[in-house]
Amino acid sequence: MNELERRAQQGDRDAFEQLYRLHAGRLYALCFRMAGDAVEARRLAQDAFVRAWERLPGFRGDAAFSSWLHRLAVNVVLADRRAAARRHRRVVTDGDAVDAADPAGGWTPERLDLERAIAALPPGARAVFVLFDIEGYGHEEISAMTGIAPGTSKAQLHRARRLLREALER
Amino acid sequence: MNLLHRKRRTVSDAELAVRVKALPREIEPPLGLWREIAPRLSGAPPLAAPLTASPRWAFGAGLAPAPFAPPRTRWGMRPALAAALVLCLAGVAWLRLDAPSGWRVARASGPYTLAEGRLATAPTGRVRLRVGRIGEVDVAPASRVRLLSARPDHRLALDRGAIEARIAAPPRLFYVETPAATAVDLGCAYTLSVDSLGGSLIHVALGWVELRRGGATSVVPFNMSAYTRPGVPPGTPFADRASDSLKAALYRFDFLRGGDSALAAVIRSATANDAVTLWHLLSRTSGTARQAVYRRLAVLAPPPAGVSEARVGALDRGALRVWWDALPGSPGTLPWWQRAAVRLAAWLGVF
Repeated sequence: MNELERRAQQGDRDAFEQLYRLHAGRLYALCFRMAGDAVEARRLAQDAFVRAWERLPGFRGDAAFSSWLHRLAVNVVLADRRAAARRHRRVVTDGDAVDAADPAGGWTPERLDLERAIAALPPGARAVFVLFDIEGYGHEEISAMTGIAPGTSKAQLHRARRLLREALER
Repeated sequence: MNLLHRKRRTVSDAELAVRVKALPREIEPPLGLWREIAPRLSGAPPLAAPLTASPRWAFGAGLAPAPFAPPRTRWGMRPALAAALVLCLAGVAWLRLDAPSGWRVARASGPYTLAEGRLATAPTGRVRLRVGRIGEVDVAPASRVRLLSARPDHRLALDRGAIEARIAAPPRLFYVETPAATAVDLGCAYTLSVDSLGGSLIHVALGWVELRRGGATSVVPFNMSAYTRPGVPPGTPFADRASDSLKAALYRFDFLRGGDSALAAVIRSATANDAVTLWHLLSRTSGTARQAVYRRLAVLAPPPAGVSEARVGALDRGALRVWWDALPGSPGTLPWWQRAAVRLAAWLGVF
């Protein structure tokens, strides 16, 4: 655990703000791609950082802070998805959501196509695809996080890749 | 026929993998995200930070959590404040004749570099710059600033990151260039952040800031904010107390080609707090859209005598100015002692 993390753990908000600066881009990317929606991503990123602040006293430094934070954010997103499913609330995801995330441009057309295609994936397939192909988790880890069987995770990944290829071929 | 026989482009697994691998690991979070997070943090108070001379120093990613609450003065303090303002303004001639020279690092915490007028702070570094004799600028972590000039006015460029400026000088002596617009100090305190794409968000705590790009301007009064994006005019200012629906619709109108539907949502959501926003929209709309803005603004902040729909519809500068002066937050609605200071400033030719 480094000095910054120790200070944040002791309640130093300035230190936590610096940790936010260091990790916000990565965490927001995760939320954005998992949610497929800029507005939802903003809310989830907020929730993840607030949860991290609340859970910091329990951070022992066994793993890197970035890994701990990342895992925590994944859990926040997945928990939100489960709660949303229980409420039968469907988060709207469409191409505009990607535009809204970055209205000033700066994305290549190829990247924009891919981000849009990812956003348009069904939620289950999108979560597995983002966790496996982008974030580098294994099927066993995804299974533990999401509660689906490893075989289902593999099937969802296969489905996601097929849908993405089809979307990019259009 | 050609369409029927057009060969369909195929994407292989390998190509998809390459494109996925090329996706950036990070996406710039929205401006102001930290500002939304900070108030939600409960628990132990922060330990003493390295730079705690002013509580305003501890400002957040992009923007301060809330360091810039407008001063809540008691009646007993007002004469003293008035005197301070008058003294400040009385120094105008001196400042103009003998402009304060140079920039100076007054404090620093954590790593930073300063070479050939280029200041860069590390993710854990903060720097407080003295702006000659007129104020100070706190540079947030992970920021890039270029010090452009110190005479006859102070001018810096914020390429990335955030600053908090506190300027105790007459208007138009301090400028901040950003990739999207120039922030012109009109005697105030504000925070300004710039993201990696050149967009910015300004929040004014005291006084006013003018955002300028080409011939387009937005005047952002205290307790209001505004976005800018490269290549387009400065965004319309919005109040801290504006509803989320208004802010979202305004953003769509300004930057996402939201058109009439976004404008309608702004008008629908507007309350008396949003009079300045609607006033700006008068000159950003035309025809029936301008009429709709006028009618909503007329309900929320009735136009002064002589300001008619016809004159406003024709963007008569005099009518717009009179109405502006009557809006909450404009100089015309300030207490007597603040109005006196403004008049003195005008008499000195600095407004």
